[in-house]
Amino acid sequence: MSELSHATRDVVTEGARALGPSPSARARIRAGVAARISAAAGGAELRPEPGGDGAATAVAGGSAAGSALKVWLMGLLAAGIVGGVAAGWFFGRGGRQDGAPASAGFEAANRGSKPAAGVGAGAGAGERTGGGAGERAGADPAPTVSGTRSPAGGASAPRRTSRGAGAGRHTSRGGSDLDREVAFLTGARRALQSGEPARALAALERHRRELRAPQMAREAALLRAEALCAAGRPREGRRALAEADARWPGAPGSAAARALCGAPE
Amino acid sequence: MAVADALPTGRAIPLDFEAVYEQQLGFVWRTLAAAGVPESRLEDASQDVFVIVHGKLAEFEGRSKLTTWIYAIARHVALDYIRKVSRERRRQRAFAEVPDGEATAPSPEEEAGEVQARRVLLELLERLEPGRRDVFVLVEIEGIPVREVARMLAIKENTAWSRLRLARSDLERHAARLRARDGEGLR
Repeated sequence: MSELSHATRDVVTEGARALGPSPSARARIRAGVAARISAAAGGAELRPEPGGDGAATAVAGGSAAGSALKVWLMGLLAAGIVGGVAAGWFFGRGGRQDGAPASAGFEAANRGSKPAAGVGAGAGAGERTGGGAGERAGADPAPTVSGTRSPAGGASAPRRTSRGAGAGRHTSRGGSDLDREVAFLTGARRALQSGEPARALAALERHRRELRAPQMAREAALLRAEALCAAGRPREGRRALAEADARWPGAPGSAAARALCGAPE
Repeated sequence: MAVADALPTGRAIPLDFEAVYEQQLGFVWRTLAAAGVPESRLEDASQDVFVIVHGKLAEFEGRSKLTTWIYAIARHVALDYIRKVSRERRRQRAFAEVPDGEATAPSPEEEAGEVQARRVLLELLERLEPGRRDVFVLVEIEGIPVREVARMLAIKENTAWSRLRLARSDLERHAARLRARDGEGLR
């Protein structure tokens, strides 16, 4: 068996020593995992039904519980879509913050709290499954790798990775326009957070085309601006932002969108 | 050299997530990095791995070593990220006005020796054929015995040895080229 030369082994040894996460990265990862676990444990309202879309399922019922959920989702969207998406993007681009409450999620995890479906639970039909090494080795089944990215601050369940963002597809079975609107925007937000701006744009386009009197046009416009910038179309993103600014001057979230798009204050 | 410790198989008590996290973060990070996840995405990808681990930990039955199980998760997550980054780069190339975030000029910190050492190693690993790289990383960097690595990768032990030998040979060749190219970057 050939061995590495001393020089090359030194390169490997030194490189490997430098390969681990820094203390600050460790802290950020810990905080992020804790926040996401906490969010998943507490954010079961967006639980996807088998084969369905989480957001769509949550808003499509039309029951009393659905109405309460709608109010909750509206709050989430008001605070989350405008600010959360911006924050999600901020986080997604490596600008995460230290100091998030790290312990809560870990404690919950160690108490055995079950995460919401979709947090790697492999419940949704749209989730990817992997015949990984463990499975092939006849050992513990290789875990399903499903949605993994959640918004900053853990405002909702982690993303699903392999379904379209067009959440409205599911809600069109009978949900109200508001239901559908919420579903479209939630789908777009999730797509954006999972680094798939094209899917976000598709959902927003459906939102624009299919809703005659949208009540969340401002949020949709800001999301669209961010999605355009994220898709590598900053000029169009800035133009969309300028239009939103003209229509809703000083709208909450526009500052964050402007920063993301590199638009002037 | 940090070794990704594996808990014994056939465990009888539930695993403590925090302990798993503390024990495995370094292993997960290195696995993701060696698989080609860009440095800028390693924190996100590590988070993803541990969110999945948390979701599935109760189902882990101890039929395999914990390291093996987590390795499978990390590899899946890594593939996800690599695909995503590849898509983003294609998109960025299509819209030339957006700079490639992964190819920015090195910062002062990046000039530091530690970062340089990491870069060199990752560059060398990137040049290895993936199957060989997997074996090399697990054996040479994680210190996992070849027999266990063969189990982790679901390959024969002889195959693992063969890949390790080839990976070492390839790495020597690439390192020699890098020395010729950079001189100071490698001794």
